[in-house]
Amino acid sequence: MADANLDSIKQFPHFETQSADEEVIVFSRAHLFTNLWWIVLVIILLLIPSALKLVEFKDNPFDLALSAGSQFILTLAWYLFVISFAFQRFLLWFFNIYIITNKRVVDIDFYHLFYKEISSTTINHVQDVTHRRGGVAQLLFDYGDLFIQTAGTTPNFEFHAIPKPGLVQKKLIALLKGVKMMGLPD
Amino acid sequence: MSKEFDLLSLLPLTLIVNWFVVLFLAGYVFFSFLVIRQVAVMCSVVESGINVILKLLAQLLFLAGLLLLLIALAVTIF
Repeated sequence: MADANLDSIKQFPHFETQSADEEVIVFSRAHLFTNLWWIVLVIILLLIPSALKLVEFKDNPFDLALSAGSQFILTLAWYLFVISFAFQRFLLWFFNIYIITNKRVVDIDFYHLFYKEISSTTINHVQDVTHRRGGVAQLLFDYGDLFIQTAGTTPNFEFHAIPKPGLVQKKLIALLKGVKMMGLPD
Repeated sequence: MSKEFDLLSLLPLTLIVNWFVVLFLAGYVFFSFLVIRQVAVMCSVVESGINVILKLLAQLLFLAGLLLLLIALAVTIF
């Protein structure tokens, strides 16, 4: 009940191909926890130049050969590279979106920065919905994969590492029942 | 003059590293220019409150790369 109340007041962002009478029911992206690996990696990479300066190498060839200007440029280039890597990872997480509306299932994928794929299918093409949750992290933070099997040649949908996959599955099944009883809204 | 063969003194390491950094930054600037365009495409897919910040950040990273490339070139050449 609490969920239903929350959903009624929740404003989902508008997406590119959304029609005027289309209502977003589920708007999801991978769980925040899935970002942990690259956040830790970025912190470690950011600490490397400072760590190298703290450690005093005996006869360090770089200290002997590199000028101060070169070391400065190299350090700045390193920081720029690491920040850009973090930015790219964030973009890929933020714009990989899974949407279920009252009419369609939409999967927006950016496999890497320059490859975009948007797949969608109408709700009445959905045949089977399965969710999978495995491993300690997924159990602890309640996230997992949702597989949506569709009819015919329409590609199947895979929502990876979404929060509360069980709840999303319930919502989609309820929507399917509604569509089967009432028909797809115009 | 020392008779020891000192490889480091023969190898212009600073010059090699500097040119390597310049090449890397040139690639970075080109790539980040493409990222600016791609972020605009990404932002058009879904409306979000932070879209403006993301676009700005992409432009900032491009400018930072460009500035650093110019500095690296100056350090390398002069």
